[in-house]
Amino acid sequence: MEQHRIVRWAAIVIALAVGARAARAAPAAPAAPAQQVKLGAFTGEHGGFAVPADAVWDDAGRLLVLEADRDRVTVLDAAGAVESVLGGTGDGPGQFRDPRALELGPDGRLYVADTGNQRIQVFGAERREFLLAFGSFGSGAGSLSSPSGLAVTAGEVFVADSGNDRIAVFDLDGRALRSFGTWGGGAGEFRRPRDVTVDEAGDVFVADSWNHRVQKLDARGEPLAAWGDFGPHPGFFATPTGITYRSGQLFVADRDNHRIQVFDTDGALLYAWGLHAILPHESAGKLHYPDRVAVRGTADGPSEAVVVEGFEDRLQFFGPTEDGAEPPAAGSLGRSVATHYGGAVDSAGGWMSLVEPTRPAVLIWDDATDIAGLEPINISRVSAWGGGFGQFRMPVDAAVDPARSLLFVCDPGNLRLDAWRIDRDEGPIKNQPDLLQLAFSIDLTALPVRFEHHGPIEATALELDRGGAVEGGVLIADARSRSVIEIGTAPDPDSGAATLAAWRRWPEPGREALLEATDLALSPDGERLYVADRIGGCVRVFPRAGDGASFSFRGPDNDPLVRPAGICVDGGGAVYVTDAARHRIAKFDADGQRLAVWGKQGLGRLEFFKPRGIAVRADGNLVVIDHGNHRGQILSPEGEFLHVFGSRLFIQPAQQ
Amino acid sequence: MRIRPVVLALTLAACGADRYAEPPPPPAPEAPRTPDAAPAAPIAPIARTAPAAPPAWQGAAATLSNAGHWDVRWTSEPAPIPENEPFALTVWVLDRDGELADVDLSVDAAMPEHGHGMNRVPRIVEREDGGFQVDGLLFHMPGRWELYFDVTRGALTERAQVEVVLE
Repeated sequence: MEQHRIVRWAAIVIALAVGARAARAAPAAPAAPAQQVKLGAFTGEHGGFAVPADAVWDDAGRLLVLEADRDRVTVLDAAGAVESVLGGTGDGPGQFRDPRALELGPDGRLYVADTGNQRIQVFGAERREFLLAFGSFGSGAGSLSSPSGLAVTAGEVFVADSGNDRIAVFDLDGRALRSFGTWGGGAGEFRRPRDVTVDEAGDVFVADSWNHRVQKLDARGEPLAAWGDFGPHPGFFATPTGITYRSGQLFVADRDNHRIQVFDTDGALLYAWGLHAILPHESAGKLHYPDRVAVRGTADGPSEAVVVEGFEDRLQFFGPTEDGAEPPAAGSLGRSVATHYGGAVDSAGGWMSLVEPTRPAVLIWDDATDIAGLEPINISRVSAWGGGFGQFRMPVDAAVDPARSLLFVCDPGNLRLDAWRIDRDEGPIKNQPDLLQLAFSIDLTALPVRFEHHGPIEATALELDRGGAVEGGVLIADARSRSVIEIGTAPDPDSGAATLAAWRRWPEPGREALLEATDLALSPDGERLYVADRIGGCVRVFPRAGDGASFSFRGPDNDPLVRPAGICVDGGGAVYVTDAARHRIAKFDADGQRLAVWGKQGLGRLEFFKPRGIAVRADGNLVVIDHGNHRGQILSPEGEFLHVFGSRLFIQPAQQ
Repeated sequence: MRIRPVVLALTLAACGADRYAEPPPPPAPEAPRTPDAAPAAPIAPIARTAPAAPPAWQGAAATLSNAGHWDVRWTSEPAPIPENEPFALTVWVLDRDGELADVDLSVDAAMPEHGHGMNRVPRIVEREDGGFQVDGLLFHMPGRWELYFDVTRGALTERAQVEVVLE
């Protein structure tokens, strides 16, 4: 992320040392050689951001913070006060949609990965005026797909072109020079590279997120080394999302292991820090889903790091440890930690499914047996990481088909759609490890469905046609074509082949594409498709049958949806949407008229923190995955709090 | 060792493709796999029909795939499957008409209660009789194992599985 620069570091260090950030102690001055200086001593924090995605210090000691949910760059002075703001929501010059990375060039120009607008924007060194933008959505030369990481050298801009699984290289004025990488797990291949950095020698280091490794390549893309694998052990990773080279050390934000790992440029682990938060939203050096780490320092070693935690809307600052001592050890969470209530939820036929992409796991709950009131009971899970059949790399959504006793799971990490048969033992409810049996798996790269320059389907959400209008109909949100695709999955009784040839798509080619579909829902009659478009900040509605027109809604202009995450429709046609940015639930009628809104940020009843999945249970009540609070809440259709379940420390405030 | 085939209820249905706007042409039907042509045999001096040779999979265990489209026949060597000793499988995949199917095969195993699989990767090669030879399997501890046969044709993979309990 951060590029080596020749600057007057001594002056910057002095400026930092006098910075008056709240609750911050002055770090001990490093005296050891560069590789012996260890960061990790907590010095302070700064909260109140809206999903900070990246940060960088400028030469004057200002900290530029990119806020994805406010679509802006917030500039803090050396004392931590807001000095200025740059940007705003939109797709015009100087506006952003869900920006995910920023970097300063050697000449001071500011580069911002305007991820949702599929472009890079460049701003002037002094006044930060808009200079130019380059890139547009696609996979050809010069095109981008979810650019999410940046490194800028004296003459080139390296872009982690995440959706194209490659590193794209431009000159400083945005002319495409070259690119390297493609989808895969081999040398020089990537699965969703999220960040990139360059050392003094010109070697390139990539946070290869879904391969859970770091790759080192030369400037032309020739692979030199790779290290890491999925897991909690030292030197392993769980979705590394940020990488920064500074002062001889390579800092990796090991997001789902809740730690920072530091390597030399040959991959030797030097040290790590990042105790996992235990209490809700605990800070004081405890980390929770660190996305990025920005570092400054001198040739003598790094002097300070800021860890960007978008999940917690905050930054935490770390200085050198005393005399190069080891920082507080990064704990290994292993597989025993209780569920994080990670994302998408579905409920049908007395079953509730919950997907946890980070473990990766799919949990299934008995949602019908009434032995504890409204409490769903987790009786089984499938959780094996890998590329083999029955294993997951990144499951993102699941849906139950009670008529066929199947649980569908989409796994873009393996480019597959899996169907698991639910085979429950007779008798009283109990844990049943063999509840789910893989029935069939569809290779989405082998489907006869191709769209203009977008490659195979990469599923990000799914919904089932439970009404049977299309036999085995599965609707898949496809990140690559930015549309929803419906395919049949019912195996043909004669040939044994799945009926995968049939398909259709929304929106139609040439119409306004979805920006990021995070959840899907169908109306009770199956005639309407509702799509939660997170980056678009709205619900898109498409007629699945008939001649109706498509439309979208976001609520009142003065109180709109900001980051819709989950969506469901009840039997009467009412539409419920979770808004992760507003920490609440909005209820609409079938035509998008807002009927009610519930919730606010907090831990109490009807309080949420970044809620995500939502589903209608068989009894008509709603289950909401209160993701940021690691729990679920059950509400009536009128918004009355009924029940909370999940991790003990997180549910107690709502039980009292 | 106790082996219990998994009993499955099947729900098959025809395609509802007529509701789709742009259905591509259906895939070409798969030709059944046939043995290599034998050299022409001399005319037999006695006009008598020789009895058909029994199929190679005669007497093998049968396991239906979880979506019901493949009949997986298999034998183990040694039999029964031993604990903490290498073993091999011979596998044939038949279609609904009882013919050898032209498919790809993967084999794996796991212990769901323990959350792990085998600690080695089996090797699979095709046999001249149309089956598959699977070597290098090892169940390294007692308990309930699930043995998986993943049968792939085109974009679709179906799993057949059996439960193996080592006591």
